[in-house]
Amino acid sequence: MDERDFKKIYDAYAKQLYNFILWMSVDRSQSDDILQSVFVKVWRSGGVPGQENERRAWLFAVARNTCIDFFRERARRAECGESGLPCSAEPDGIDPTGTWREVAKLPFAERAAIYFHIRMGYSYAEIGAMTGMTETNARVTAFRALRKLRNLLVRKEP
Amino acid sequence: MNDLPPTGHCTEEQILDLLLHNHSPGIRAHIDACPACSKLLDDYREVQRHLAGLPEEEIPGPLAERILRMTSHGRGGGESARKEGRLGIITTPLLIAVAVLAVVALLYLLVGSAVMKMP
Repeated sequence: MDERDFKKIYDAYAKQLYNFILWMSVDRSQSDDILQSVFVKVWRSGGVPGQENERRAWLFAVARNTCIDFFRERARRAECGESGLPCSAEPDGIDPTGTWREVAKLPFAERAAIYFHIRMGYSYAEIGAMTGMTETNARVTAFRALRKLRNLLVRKEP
Repeated sequence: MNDLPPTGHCTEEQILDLLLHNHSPGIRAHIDACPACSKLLDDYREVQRHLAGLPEEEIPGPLAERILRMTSHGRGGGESARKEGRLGIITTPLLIAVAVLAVVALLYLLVGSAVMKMP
């Protein structure tokens, strides 16, 4: 991969990846570090899949895995909760509406599934391929996330 | 309608299936006629609107520059370059201070030895 190819990938995907990472980490400074790590991996990979849909799925899988690495590292440093994965307790000045705050309460897998499905429009099969889940698991995970968000955002269950 | 559970109302899975795939005509017909199920679907639509309506954030300019700059270094070392950058912020003033001290010490020694040699 040369500089021009890298720039093309950056221009086409960086903003999408950044928003995904922000969604997953709910933390601006951490998102900056994660995005940079993702592009370091892209640059070092030597090449990305040629087909657009495969390339996008590959990039998001790299971003997701990089998020996991960062969260694990943060857990190892005992900065966050029990599982070590989703631990963004307080969103970092992102969201005046409170939606991000509620999103931050979802476990990592649910957060990813709902983002890929609602925001990116991926099918459950595609989500499964990117996240290592079966199609059914991806569907169940997205449903579970939506159900929780309904309770958090729309109305509290009695 | 045969798909409905004994409660006579849709399950949440059925509502979500309809919301996300929109391919359940029997369920659609029931929801149109059932205020409770219709309310549940509306709730989920609101969640969907919340999520889909969140604004896209822009990448901060300095971050974009940092990422794009790493290719011009001819290596995939943006992260280490940044660490070096951070390190540089700390070490550069230290190096300057050490160099100044070394020069002062050298001058002191030279001047001192010259003074000692004076009759």
